[in-house]
Amino acid sequence: MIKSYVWGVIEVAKRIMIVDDEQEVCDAVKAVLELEGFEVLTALSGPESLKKLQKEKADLVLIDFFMPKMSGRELCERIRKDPKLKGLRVAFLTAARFGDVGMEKLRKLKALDYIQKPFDNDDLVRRVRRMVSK
Amino acid sequence: MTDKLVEYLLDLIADKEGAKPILDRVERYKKLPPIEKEAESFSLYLELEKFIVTHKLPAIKGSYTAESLRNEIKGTFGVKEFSPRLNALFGISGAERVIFSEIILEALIKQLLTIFKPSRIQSLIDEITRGQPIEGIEVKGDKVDFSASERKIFSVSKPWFGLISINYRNLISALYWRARDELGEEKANWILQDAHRSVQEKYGYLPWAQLVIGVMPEDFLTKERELEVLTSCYKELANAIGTVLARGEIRGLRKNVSQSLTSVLRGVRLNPDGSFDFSALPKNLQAIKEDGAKKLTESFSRLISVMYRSARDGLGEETAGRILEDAYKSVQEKYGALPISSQVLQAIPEGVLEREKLEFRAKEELERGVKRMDMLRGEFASVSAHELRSPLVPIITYSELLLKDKKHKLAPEQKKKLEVILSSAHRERELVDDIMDITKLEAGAMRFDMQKVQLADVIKEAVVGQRAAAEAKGIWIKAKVQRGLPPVHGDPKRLTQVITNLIRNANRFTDKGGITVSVSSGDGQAIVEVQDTGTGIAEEDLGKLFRKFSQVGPRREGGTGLGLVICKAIVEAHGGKIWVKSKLGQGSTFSFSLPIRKSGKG
Repeated sequence: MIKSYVWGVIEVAKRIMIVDDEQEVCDAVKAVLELEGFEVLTALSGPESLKKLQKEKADLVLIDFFMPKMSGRELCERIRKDPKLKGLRVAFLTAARFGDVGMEKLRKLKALDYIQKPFDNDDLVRRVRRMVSK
Repeated sequence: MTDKLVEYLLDLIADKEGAKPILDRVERYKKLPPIEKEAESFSLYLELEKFIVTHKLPAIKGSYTAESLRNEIKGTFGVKEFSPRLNALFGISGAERVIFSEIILEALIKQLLTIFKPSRIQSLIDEITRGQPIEGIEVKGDKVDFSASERKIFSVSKPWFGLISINYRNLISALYWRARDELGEEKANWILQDAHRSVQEKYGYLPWAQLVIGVMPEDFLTKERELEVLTSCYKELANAIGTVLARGEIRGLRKNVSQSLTSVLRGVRLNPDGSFDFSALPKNLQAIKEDGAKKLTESFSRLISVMYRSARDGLGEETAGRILEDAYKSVQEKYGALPISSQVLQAIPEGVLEREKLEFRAKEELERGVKRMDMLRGEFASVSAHELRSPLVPIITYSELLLKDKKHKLAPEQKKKLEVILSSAHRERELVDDIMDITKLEAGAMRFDMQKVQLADVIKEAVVGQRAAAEAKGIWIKAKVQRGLPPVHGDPKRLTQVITNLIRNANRFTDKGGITVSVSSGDGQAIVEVQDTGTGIAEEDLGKLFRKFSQVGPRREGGTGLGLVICKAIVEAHGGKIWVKSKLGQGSTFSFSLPIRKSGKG
């Protein structure tokens, strides 16, 4: 998807992947981000996300922490182990509270941010923008 | 079940000295209507148990443990499992803690009675415990009556033992500080020390003392003092074994012992008579960093196992076992049960110190169990919080999207309804957060990330965060911060939460004027004040403020009814107090205090 065409430079929309086991949550986040011009992929589980990431590139993956089968943490660890996905930006979008998950864990997993669910739309967009522009 | 339990325990004490008041109380209990009976039965049970413990009645063989009593009762009644409530009552974190707190509190009050008038102490206690679960403690002559407070504790559906022991600790702490204000530090320390000693002499060092230490004001019973007691226990034990062995002319004993004197015991000498010259032992064991106690136990364990092994090789297993057991018993009589480490355990053959070994293993198991419980509880809280918050995502997100949709503008009436949905969802989110906090605080599972905190920074952060909300209401908010205040010891996130909560409350009840947040220090404490020019609080409502779900006055937008309860628990966990001054129509001032640590400590 081409976002804008200014002075002959094509700016390609940034692509965000949302991984959350709840379809409703995926859809809601998708609606907010698409309205702001992002391209959004969704995955309902860790394995699904890994499979999709093999085929399609993403600029940022937003991961839920608690998911059945494969937890967000495990998914993140797998992403970090995959040489193909080296340098992929990852952040958590989760209802767990900061204190419960801990900064330590985030640092170890090289996650960029931690967005608490439920979030304010504006706040989500601001933080996503900041992350993909890094 | 509880009736039966009371009857059973009653049998044990029937002919004992001093049991008359309890027997009278049981008579009164029997006549109560059923609804009051239940709460009273727990309180009564507690008193019975306390009597059994304090009189060291033979019902509980050896030293008292909750487990042994529980098994005894299970066996007597052929009960397989207790109900969760009874289990809570028997858990180490439960009734035992209440009992120990009361014992040490009683000792302290007795000491204070030698200086203050009973009426004065009574009014102090009333002042400190007002509105708390432990309200109703009565000083009667030189005795302290806990029955009213206990009834209150057990009349709530699930006794919050965590909070109750914090309450007791705070009361002890407050009494100590009051004594210190009036009598000076030295004298107050002596009073507390005497109280502590009297408990220690009566009940021994461990496990009693450890629980007692748990209820002592933090500033008072430092690790140093704990180590002091532990060190003298070990010294005596080593000397007792050494002097017996010296008479036995065991080959290689001196050499083996000398070789085992390493770590903190380096430089300690074995005298010709088998006793030890401990003058080389570091005076300040605290200097061996945090695990001073661990090092000490390890080193002495090594020494004792070496002595035991030498004795076994020279004198045979039976004699060696007896020597060890005798020495152990003599020290135990003086100090109470000694902790033994796995090193000593491994060296001791079956049949010697059997009970101590069992206790040690039980303690280890218990510690593991408690750790696991805490972990599970934390996990449960996180997972359920997750489940509760997730459905709010689509509600909030879509409401916001619809409200801001420029293509399809909503009719004013629709917009209004949607705004109600959105604000309700936000309130729901707050409520979930607050309930999670309360759950953790009550379970004692809240982790505090303690560090040096500049209150000025914390206040600034809270004020900045709440400025927009105040301005939206057309009121002002300002921070008045004294420069150069000494830092306090606390968790900055949690302290910000307390101040934010107080500001939000102030905002909610203020329509004209504004909010001032200030901090001052003096007298070893820092005091933060959140003052508003709002509606104020009627006098009869002041007492209800810090209770769960008790919003006073008309319900205002937002607010979960838990905010002040959380503030109180957080402040108290920091060793501080929270209070309010207000008059209807004249605004309110919420204040809390935090102790300032002298430099060099903490």
